[in-house]
Amino acid sequence: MKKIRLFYVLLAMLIVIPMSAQTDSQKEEMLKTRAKEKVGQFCDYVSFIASKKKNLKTRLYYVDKAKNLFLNRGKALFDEDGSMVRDSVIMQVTSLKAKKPRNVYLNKYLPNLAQLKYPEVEVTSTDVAEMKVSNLHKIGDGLYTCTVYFYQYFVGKADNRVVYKDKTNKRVQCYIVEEETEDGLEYVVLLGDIYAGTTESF
Amino acid sequence: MRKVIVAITLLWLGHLMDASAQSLFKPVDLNYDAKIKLVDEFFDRFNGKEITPYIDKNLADYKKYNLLSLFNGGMFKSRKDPLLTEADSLINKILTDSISLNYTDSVWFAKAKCLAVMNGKETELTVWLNVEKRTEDMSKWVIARAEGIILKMLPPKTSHDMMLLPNDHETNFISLHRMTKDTPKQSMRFARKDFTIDETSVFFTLVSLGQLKIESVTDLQFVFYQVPGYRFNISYFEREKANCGWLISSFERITESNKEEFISKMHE
Repeated sequence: MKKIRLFYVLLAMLIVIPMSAQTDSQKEEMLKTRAKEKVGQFCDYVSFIASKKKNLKTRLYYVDKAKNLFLNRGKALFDEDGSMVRDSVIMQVTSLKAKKPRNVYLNKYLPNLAQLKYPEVEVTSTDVAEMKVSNLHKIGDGLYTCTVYFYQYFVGKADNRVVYKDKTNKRVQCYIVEEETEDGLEYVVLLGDIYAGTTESF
Repeated sequence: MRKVIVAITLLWLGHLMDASAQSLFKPVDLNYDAKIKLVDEFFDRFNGKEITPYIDKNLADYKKYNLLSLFNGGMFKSRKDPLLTEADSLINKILTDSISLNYTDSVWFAKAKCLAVMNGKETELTVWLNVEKRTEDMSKWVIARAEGIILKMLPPKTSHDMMLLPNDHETNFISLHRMTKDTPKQSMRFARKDFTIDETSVFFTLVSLGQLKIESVTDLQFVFYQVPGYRFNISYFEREKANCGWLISSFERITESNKEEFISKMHE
């Protein structure tokens, strides 16, 4: 019985020690990678939602999944007394014709993306490994923020011909929440507003 | 043997598919690594923590070239441009004084030109921001100053001379009611002649009353005062060149007294 207990203690140490033994810079790098991966996951959902290769019902299912990546599922946050603390997540959009960024709420942007007028749509993004992350800033106990930079490439096609294409640099606000669990510290990355920079053809 | 051939064929096909997908929808951006994509990245390059990819670290003067790569190349007309000599002096100052930039420095500012709407009319504002420490390990951006025509509270040019009458003290200054009710837009005409408006306070008042809303930031620059005797600005340049992203868009020599005056104005 003692042997079994010792085994569990050693197992727990094996799980917890690597996390606690990390230096601050290792931890920062690990969290920055997590943020990039989360943005990469969102980019994959965007690509899937925009693609007309799957039926609309399936794509709308992924709209719902994509919302889970955001703060409060992209919805506004309210105080106990009902006053707004933070409005819904904003996804800025631009195009070659309208270069000035327009603020669109995420909850409107994602369903719109699933129903674009182009018969074929392909949206790709910078590979996760190539995404650039800012420094990590502490904003509360166990709460951090950083920004992830990447390019989004949009191609609209009709009859197998490219009728529209652009590339836009995007910057995503990421929030990293530290949570204490039975297995030690765990980190949850949630996405916030997405800023759109310049849009150009490619 | 057949299995090996199939595996190699699949690998080759995979490579082809990947390559064709890239060429069609995700072009290889040769400038992506060189581009200074984030302000934090500008800090890292300035501090020598990161070297601009096309600079050979084996060169004796690589630190100098690295700093030169942070300037907007478009501002220099030729190699003989006197501005380039000035840039060289700035670089020498940075290197000899071992200047580095830190996020928590109190001598760098964001200058955000904003498109705002007040009472349905569009107007332009400039909001200056700086980093303020919250605790030992936490900081935040704060509004240091706001500037704009709308914040100066200038009375309409067409307005007539207005004043509180010399005998208004005899009527319990009933005219104060009239001033705020009848001619609120002229209220500044009733102030003492040496009164100066604090535009930042006006900004916060209008925002808190819900009368002023910032629609968007139309231009963003960061201003740095860390280098003794100099001020420089960075702006974002989007273009198909290696010299792109956050770059030094302007710089000038500045006296320490002018520098102090500006900084204290921001922190007052």
